[in-house]
Amino acid sequence: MSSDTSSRSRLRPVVQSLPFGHERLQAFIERHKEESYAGYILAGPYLLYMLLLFFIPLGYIFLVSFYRNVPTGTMEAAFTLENYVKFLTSDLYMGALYTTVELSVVSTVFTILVSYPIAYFIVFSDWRYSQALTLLVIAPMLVGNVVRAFGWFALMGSGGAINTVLGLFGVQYTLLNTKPGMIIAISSVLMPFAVLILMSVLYTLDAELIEAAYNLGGNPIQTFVYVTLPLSLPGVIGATIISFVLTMGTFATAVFIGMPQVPMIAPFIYDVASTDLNWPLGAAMSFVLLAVSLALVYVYTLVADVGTQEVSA
Amino acid sequence: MSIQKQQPETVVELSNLTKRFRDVTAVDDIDLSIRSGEFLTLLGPSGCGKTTTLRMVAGFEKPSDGVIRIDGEGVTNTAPYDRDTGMVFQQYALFPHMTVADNVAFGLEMQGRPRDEIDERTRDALEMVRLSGLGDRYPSELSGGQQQRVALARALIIEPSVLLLDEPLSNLDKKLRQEMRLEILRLHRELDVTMIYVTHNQDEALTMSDRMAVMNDGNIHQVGTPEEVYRHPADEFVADFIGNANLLGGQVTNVSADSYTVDLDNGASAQLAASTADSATVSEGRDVVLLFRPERFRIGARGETSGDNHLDGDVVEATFLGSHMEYLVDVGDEIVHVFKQTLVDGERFEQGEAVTLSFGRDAPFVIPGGST
Amino acid sequence: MSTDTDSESGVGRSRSFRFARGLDSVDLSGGVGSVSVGRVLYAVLLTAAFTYLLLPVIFAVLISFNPSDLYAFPPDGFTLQWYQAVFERSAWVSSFLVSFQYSIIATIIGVGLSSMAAYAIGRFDFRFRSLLDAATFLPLMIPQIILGLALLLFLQHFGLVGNLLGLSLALAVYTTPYATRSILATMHNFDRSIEEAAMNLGADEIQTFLRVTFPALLPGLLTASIFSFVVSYSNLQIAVFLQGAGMTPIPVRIFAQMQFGASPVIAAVATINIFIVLLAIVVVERFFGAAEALGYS
Ligand SMILES: Nc1ncnc2c1ncn2[C@@H]1O[C@H](COP(=O)(O)OP(=O)(O)OP(=O)(O)O)[C@@H](O)[C@H]1O
Ligand SMILES: [Mg+2]
Repeated sequence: MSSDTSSRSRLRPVVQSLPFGHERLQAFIERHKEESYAGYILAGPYLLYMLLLFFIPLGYIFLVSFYRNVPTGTMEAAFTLENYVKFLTSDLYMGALYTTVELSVVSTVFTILVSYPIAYFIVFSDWRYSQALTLLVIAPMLVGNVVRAFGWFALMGSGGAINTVLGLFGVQYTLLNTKPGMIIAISSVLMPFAVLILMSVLYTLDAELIEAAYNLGGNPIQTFVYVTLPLSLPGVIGATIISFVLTMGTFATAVFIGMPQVPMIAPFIYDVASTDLNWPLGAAMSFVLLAVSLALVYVYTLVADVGTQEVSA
Repeated sequence: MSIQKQQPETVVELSNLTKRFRDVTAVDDIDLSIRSGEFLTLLGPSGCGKTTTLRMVAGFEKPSDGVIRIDGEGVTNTAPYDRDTGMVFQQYALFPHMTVADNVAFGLEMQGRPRDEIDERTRDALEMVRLSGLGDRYPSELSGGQQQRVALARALIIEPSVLLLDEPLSNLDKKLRQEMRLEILRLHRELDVTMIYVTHNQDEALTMSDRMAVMNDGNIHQVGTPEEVYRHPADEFVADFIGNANLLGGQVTNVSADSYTVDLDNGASAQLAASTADSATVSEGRDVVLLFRPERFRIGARGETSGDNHLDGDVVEATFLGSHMEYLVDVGDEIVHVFKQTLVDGERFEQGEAVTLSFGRDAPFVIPGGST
Repeated sequence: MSTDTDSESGVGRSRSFRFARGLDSVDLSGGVGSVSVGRVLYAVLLTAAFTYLLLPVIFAVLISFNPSDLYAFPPDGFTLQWYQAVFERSAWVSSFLVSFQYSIIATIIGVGLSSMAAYAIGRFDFRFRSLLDAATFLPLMIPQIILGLALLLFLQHFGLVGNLLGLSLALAVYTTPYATRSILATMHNFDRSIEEAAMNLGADEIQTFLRVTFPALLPGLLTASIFSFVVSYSNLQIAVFLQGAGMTPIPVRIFAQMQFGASPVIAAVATINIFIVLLAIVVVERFFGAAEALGYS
């Protein structure tokens, strides 16, 4: 055993030629790594960025929503509620807001119903390609809303493929510019998010527990209803919330499939801000949309809380 | 290898070592010195602070209090990479993106050794753990036992003052565990390296160690050779933890020069040799606990005695264990374990049978009682 | 690495498909041969769900090769004329280039920031750690259109609307949830004792990071990069507010073109986008298994 002091100095690593100086950086790390603020130093740039480009802009449009619009495309610092009044008293906008909430609720419920079996299959299946299915789920999400909205547009038109196929049975139903058409298109956009969230919760379930319940009870439908489903409820709740919030802001789909017969709120916000250049009104509309979304999510979590407690009781 | 040094020098010395995590005291003011070339085991139940102690020696945890010396030099607050220790992890902790040879060579590379030397010593190290020819594989292409050998080679190649092993065999199956036990002992013998070996398996500790330190609740209860610890446990915890000890409570009466009497709590009394206890323990009226190894009892049919002392009881359970029978015998207020060799024509006792247990004047080990 | 992730995913595969097996035993109506009615029912349901999910994407691809400019189904021929039309219009080409440029810059910014934040969350213990962990989702948790408008109003004060930098800065915000989640998923599966092993062998913090930690986190970083690129490349709701003259991102140009009426040229553009995204996914999957990298295994 060579335990002399020279072995200690040999243990000192050979300095690599790093531009910022290995020794200095190492000394810095050693000095700070144990401190309670070390995490903040590392996350600092991210936090600063989010502050500058997320929180401040959001705070800023909240402020702007009280400004006064000047028709030339500028605005005047003020404190007025006229933008909110204008929005809340407009039948067109309020109608669109109502339609948005309605479509969001229905689409979200539909999305969860379709997504659950997919997530369940991918997680619990022993089919060798079930992992590849994850990719099939992620792919449409990454392709983006515009492309998918376009695809549905092409499918749903009066002479589109859906009507061609329906025509074989002597039926015609043009989904374009209808609420069912919107729900179909929106749900397909939401599905990847919902499936991924549900999967991440299903993966945490104890397979043995389900197995045990299954072996004891024998009936798989009981096992599902009394064990699997209640245990995966947090995932269902999370998926519902994300899906709902995403739908409330539906834009490309709303323009391609819905407008003008089925108006949702996001296209109006875009028009007001980009075409009319009425930013204060756009900001006010954004805030009402955000407030309505968060309020409904809040109500939902209250209901879900009670529901979950009842299930576990 | 072995010109035994007269005065074995101390390689690792822990003084007043303490580690507190928020509200838990994981290691509570322990003192321990490990001698050069020694195989020392830290033995204790789960959560007793073995890993924490080892990690403090390696430098991964900072002691809350106390001093650590390696080769006489204080390293209490020295960074892990400036300490002369090698470590073998429970989950092997091999670098998954490096080949076996690169894994083994890592320590020498960090020391900035010339390439030739690194290559040669890596080859030697792989040969030493009988993995020659597997240097180009990735860890994921090896079996558990092979991975553990790589971990050993990787830690040993830097010739550390002390090799730290944290339950290195717990992830292996029984047969492999046996094989790796011998392998580690062989390396210990051939390289004469000082080792601290953590385990909660008493068999491992008893069969492998030069000395063992029995820990519980952050404290070291006893340090000694396996034989010392087995035959003369320092207290009830050690006795209970090592082997299947039987504990019978009682009170000392009637002390004479070379013997004394204990009135047992179950009504019987025992005549014991003075050598079974510290003289301080043996004073009239004192509460004591008698520790019996299961093999120190002789079991016979009721009334059939063959020693200085005896206890009547009923067999609660009889288990055939191949070379011997294990009986659980109810002797009043305690159930005791008794082992008896299975002889071809030897008698057997069935459950519910009345028996008498006999034991000699020097059979138990007696410690101060009152704590149980 | 590859065998490593294989064994990871093995966990998922080894869990058997209990529900379907259950349906097997409960279905009293019996089955045809060894295939039970329950299983068939479930298979039909799944196929329908996946068809539904993929239909718009597949259909966009189909009509891009269809000579008829009505969205005829089934296709009545094969042509590349719409692709030719795309590449002949310099406006489309420049939009592709613009989108590529800001997506790459946004990815560098987003992944750079997110990886440090994720490392802090995964490795350090600090007071608001779990709060920060949850907050990384925030850009996904508010309707996108609001974020787009907010960034427009704020960034125009700094002359950052209608140029590459503005688009990049804005979309980097949107990439952070995807990037932090991918990296955290990798960190979650990372065995910290290999870092201790490196230090025990004489590597200091920097060497340990470069030789051990970074290579082990690389799959997560690359996955984060590719996802970040793709989500900023296909984003409309933020890009539409930050576009400018000569700076029209691809999704925005598709959107604008749709206002004048749909054409198979758009299908061709969409198909090119789909191809780019698929290529990215295949790269991730090839090297690390996208599902594992995202932590879904
Ligand atoms: N990082 C930590 N933070 C808080 N408490 C800890 C930490 N590490 C260990 N402990 C606590 O310290 C005590 C001793 O833990 P340690 O890991 O040393 O036990 P051990 O003897 O190695 O047990 P085992 O045989 O289960 O490995 C335990 O109560 C444990 O919960
Ligand atoms: Mg331990």
